Amino acid sequence: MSSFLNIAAVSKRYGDVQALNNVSLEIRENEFFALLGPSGCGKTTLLRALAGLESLDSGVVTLANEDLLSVPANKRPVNLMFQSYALFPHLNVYDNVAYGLRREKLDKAEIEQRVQDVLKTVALIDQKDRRPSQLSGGQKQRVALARAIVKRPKILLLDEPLSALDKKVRSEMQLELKRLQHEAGITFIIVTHDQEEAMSIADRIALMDKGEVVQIATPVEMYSAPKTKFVADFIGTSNLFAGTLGAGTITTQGKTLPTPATALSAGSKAVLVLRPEDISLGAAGTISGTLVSSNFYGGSSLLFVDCGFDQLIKVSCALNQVPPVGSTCHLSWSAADSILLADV
Amino acid sequence: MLVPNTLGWLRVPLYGVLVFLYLPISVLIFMSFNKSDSPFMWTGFSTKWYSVLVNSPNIMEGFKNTLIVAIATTIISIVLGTLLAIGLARYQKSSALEAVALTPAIFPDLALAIGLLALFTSLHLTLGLHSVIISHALFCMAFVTAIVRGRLSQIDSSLEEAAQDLGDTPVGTFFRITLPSIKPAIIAGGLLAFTLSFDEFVIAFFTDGPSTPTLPIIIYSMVRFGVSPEINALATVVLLISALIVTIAQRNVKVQDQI
Repeated sequence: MSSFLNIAAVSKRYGDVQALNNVSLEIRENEFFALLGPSGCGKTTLLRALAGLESLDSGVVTLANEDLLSVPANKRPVNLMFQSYALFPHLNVYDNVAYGLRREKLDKAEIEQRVQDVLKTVALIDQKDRRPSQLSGGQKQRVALARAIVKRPKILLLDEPLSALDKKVRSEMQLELKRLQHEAGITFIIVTHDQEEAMSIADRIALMDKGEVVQIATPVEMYSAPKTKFVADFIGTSNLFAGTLGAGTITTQGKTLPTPATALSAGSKAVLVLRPEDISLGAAGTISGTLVSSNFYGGSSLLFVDCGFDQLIKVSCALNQVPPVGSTCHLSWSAADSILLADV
Repeated sequence: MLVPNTLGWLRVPLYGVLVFLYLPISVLIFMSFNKSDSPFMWTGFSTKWYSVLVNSPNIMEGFKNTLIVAIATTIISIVLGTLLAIGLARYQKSSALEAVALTPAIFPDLALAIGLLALFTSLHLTLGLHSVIISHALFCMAFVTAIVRGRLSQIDSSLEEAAQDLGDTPVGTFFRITLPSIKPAIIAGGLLAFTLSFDEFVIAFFTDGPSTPTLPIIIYSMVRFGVSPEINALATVVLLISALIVTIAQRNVKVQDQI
């Protein structure tokens, strides 16, 4: 598939802070794309620049091969759903949703039809005469969504759309967003700092750090083949061992662990990444230690084992196999399941 | 232990202060309905002093002048004060500039009055209602600015961005989003400007021309020859108008808080 939105070498600086540093991304049509990263990584700046609310210092952005940056915000075929929702407090739900269509000077019957349709889609038709102050958080979020998609933008930008909702409503809304994206056939770009959210919702993720894109991949690739230590640490839960490579081993904190096949040369600095679910408990193991605590997560538990490293080792364990706290655990894994990354 | 819900002996200062606050005004209103023309002796109920007011061309002229000044002051203060508040909130974030814009509200009247008179004289400007309007707008504007500025800092600045994102022009955004959001503050500020101008004496006394006295100036010149009962009636009318407008302004602020 050819690229739809092409972001090429964009940069933006605020005083001493490099918010975006030479960022390039290609986003495909009808894709659900996530910009993920810790706060201050530049993801929101990039999103606002795409909406036209922020100017860029350099770089080119094209949408369907046409320059986007020279188009003012109110003429871009792009709509933004704000983190605060930014619903107009003096207008009711209907007028909020109709606002953008009225600015397009469409005829009344068409506006009426499209607003009714979108309100039905987000199940808010019964609340159409209410003011935003009379709605719950989830309802406000759906009004904000309806107001943006009713314009039928080529791209819908979502700035932390679910961060103000509690956990249960949030997972329902994640499903809802996926369904809407599928039905509306619109390219969605979502900004989030929540890696679980990005993993469960997006087709592809761009992980950003300090104004730069660190890795662009599907959620599965990002998890199973992280490019750097930062990615391995940010995505999912992992045990990281930094050390020096030997022949098929890594020496870390005075201990030696087996490594998978690698192109890295012996003697170089590297990080061994071990996911909790790749480690198993047994009668004997590569390393052993005392179980310090276990955290219950529904179907499985996460064990914290003290094996003499600076950090506790995290091990995923089925619920009925959790040993008592204080007992000795023997941890083993297949070296091929672990990931070895150069440490820079 | 439950706090007793009776005030006990604290009732004494409470009611004492309330009496202190409202006794003079009560006497004024009471005496304005006195039949006798002695300001000290009650001889029976009458509304004749109110009809004296209505039939006095002098007072009615002053009332008209005061209304012209108050309405013009309100309009100028609303427009300039709102623009200044938006400028301060959105385009020139400087606390020093903000202080400079808001201090006319707390300038001593006398200093402002003398300064304005000196300015008008040095500019060879003739004095009249127009000079009173300029002077009143100068200090009333600061009140409107303060109230609208406060409201602007409460509203979500992404509302305007959202309007533009949905395809509105900057001018359309101002009239459809910004103005409705700050409308209650503009109304409250305008009503405050009206009451401040309506009974303002010191600045009007210095900057008005002799042929167009405002109501407070007329009251002052009448009092110089002793307190007559129609003064009581006139002061009661001024009091009621101010009280009415302050009440409307406060209601309006309450409604605004509910939105």
